[in-house]
Amino acid sequence: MRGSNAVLEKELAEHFASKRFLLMFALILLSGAGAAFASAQSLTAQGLTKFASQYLFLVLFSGAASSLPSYVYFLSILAPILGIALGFDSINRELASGSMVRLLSNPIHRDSVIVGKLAAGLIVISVVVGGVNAVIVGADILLAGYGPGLDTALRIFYFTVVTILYSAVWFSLAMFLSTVFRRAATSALVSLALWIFLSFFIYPLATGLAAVMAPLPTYPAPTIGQMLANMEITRTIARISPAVIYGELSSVLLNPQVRSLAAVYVYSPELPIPASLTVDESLALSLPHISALVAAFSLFSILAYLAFMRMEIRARWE
Amino acid sequence: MTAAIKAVGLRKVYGSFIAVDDTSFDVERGEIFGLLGPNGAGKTTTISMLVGLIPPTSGDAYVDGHSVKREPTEVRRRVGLLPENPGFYENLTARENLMLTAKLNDVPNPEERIEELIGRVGLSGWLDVEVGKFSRGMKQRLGIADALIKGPSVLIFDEPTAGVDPKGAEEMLEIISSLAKEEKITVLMSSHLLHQVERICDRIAVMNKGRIIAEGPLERLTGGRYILELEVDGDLNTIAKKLQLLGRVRLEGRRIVVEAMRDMRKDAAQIVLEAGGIPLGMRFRRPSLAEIYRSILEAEVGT
Ligand SMILES: Nc1ncnc2c1ncn2[C@@H]1O[C@H](COP(=O)(O)OP(=O)(O)OP(=O)(O)O)[C@@H](O)[C@H]1O
Ligand SMILES: [Mg+2]
Repeated sequence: MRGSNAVLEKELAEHFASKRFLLMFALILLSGAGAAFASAQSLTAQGLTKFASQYLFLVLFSGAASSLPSYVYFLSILAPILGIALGFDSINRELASGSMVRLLSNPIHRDSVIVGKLAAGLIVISVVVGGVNAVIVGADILLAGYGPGLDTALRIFYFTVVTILYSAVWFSLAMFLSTVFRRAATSALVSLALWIFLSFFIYPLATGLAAVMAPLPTYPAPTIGQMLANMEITRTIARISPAVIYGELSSVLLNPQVRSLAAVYVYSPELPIPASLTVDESLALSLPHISALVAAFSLFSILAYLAFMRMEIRARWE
Repeated sequence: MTAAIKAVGLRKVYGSFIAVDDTSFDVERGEIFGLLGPNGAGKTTTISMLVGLIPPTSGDAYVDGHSVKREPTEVRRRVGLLPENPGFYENLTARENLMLTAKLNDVPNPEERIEELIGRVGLSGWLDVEVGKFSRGMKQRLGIADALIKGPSVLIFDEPTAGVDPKGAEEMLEIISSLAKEEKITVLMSSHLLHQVERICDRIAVMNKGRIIAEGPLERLTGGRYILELEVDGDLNTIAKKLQLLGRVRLEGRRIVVEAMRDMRKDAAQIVLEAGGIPLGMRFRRPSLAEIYRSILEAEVGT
C-alpha cells in the first residue's frame, strides 16, 4: 500500500530521531554489556574461561553466571518498556497535535496509517533488540575466546526473535490503549500498570487462587497428586501473563537442560539423568508459547485497528 | 456543470446535541465562499464532514460530483485542507513534512513542487528547519503550501488567519485570493474575522447553532439595509429614543447610528429638529458585514 509505506517512512524518521529510542537503545546495550562483563569475570574467577563449552557460552550470553541480575532478566524488563515507549502515544498524540487530521485529509485509507505504524514499531524493536544482541554476542566471543556453534547460535537467534515478539506484544497493547484514551498520560499509565500487574503480581495472584481451588492440606501432608494439581492451576493462571510466557520461553531456549514446561516431579529415583535437548527439540517445546505471543500480538493489533477505524477524527480535540 | 462543493442535508448529532443541522449549500467553481459563525456554530464539524474525517449522521456532500460517503478517497484527492490547527510533525523539517504529503498523494517531481510552493508562501530558506521552530504564522503559511501540494481543485481553510498578526494575515489573504482568481481553485474558508471575509469572499453563509441562517453574495446580504450616522447637538438620549420610530438605534460615543430597511434621511432630520436638536453631520451608507452579522444573529436570538 502506497499510504502505509509513506506512513512507515515517516514513523521511522520520527522514532530514530527520538530521545526515547536512543534512551532505550542505550539502556538495553548497557545492561547487556554490563551483564556480559560481570559474567565473564565470575566465570574466570571459577577458572572456566578456557573450558570451551557451548553450554558456557549460553551462560555467558544470558549473563547468568554473576550475582548481578542477568541480561535475560534486564531484557524481560526493558523489552516491554521499549514496546510501551514506542506505542503508548502513537495515535492519541497525533490526534492532539492535529497531525492526524492532516494525514487523513490525504487520499489514503485509514488502514494504511495503522498498518504503517505497526510495521514501523516492529522494525524499530527488531533494530534495537537484534542490534544489541548482535553486539553482546560479539563481546561474548571476545571475552570467551571462542564462538558459538550452530546449535548455540540458533538458540540465541530464536531467543532474539522471541524477545522481539514479546516487546511487540506490549507495543501493540500500548498502541491499542493509545486509540482508547485521548490523553497520552492515561494510556502510558494504564500500559505500565498492566505491565507491572502481569509481571510482578501475577504469581501471588495465581498462587492465591490455586490455594482456593486446589487447597493443600497441612496435615496430613499433601499427596503428590494434590501438589501437582495445585502447581498445574498456578501455572495455568500465571500463563495468562505474557511475562510468564516469555520467562518460560527464555529458559527453554537458552537452557538445553530444560526438558519440559509442565509440572514435573523431580525426586523420583527412576528418573534418568537429564540429557540436553537439541535446539530443534527446545524449539518444538516452545512452539505453543510462541503461538500464544503471536496470538496476543495479533489480538491487540486487531483491537487497535478496529478502534482506530471507528474513531472520529476531529480537527481539534477538546 | 456540477458545483465544486455541494452539501446536501448534512447533519451531525452527538447524543442529543445537534452540532450540524440539515445544512445544504453549493460552492461554484473558482468562487471564494466564506463560512461565518460564532464559536461552536458547527463550522469545523461541517468542514470535517466535507473531507470525510467525520461521518455525517445523515446527508452527504459532493466534491466535483464525488460523494464523500461513497468515494472519500476521490474527494480527498481533490481537496486541500488547512485545518484549524495544521499539526505538523514538529521534530521533522518543513521539507520532510511536505515530502510526506507529496508521497501520500503520489506527486510527480515532489522536490521541485515543494521548492516552488515554499517560495510562493514566502518561506524559502526555511525548508530544512524543524517545524517546531516555526511561529504560528509561519506554520499557517506552511499549511497553505501543504494543502497545495496535491494540486487540488478545491481548498478548504478552517480559520486560516486565527492567531496570525495583521501583516501576516494580510499576506495570507492575498495568497488565498490569488489562488482563486489566477488558478481558478475553489476556496471555502471559515472565519470569525468579518472584515477579512468581507474583503475576499464572493459569497457568504452565516452559521449559528448548526444551521445556516443567511446565505448569499455580500451585496445581497447587505442589500435593502441602510445605516445613518448622525452627529447632533442636543439631548442625545431623548433624540435617540424618538428615532426608534425609524428602526434600530444605538449610540456610539457622540454619534447616533440608525439602521433601517429604507432611506430615512429626511424623517431622521425632522425628528432631530422636533426633539430640539441641531443636526451637525450626517453620513448615509450601506452596512458593513459586521453590522449585518450582528443583526442576523440578534434576529436569531429574538425568534
Ligand atoms: N465529539 C463531540 N461530542 C459532542 N459534541 C461535540 C463533539 N464535537 C463537537 N461537538 C460540539 O459541536 C459544536 C460545533 O463544534 P464546531 O467545532 O464545529 O464549532 P465551530 O463553529 O468550528 O467553532 P469554533 O469557532 O470555536 O471553531 C460545539 O458545540 C461542540 O461542542
Ligand atoms: Mg472551528
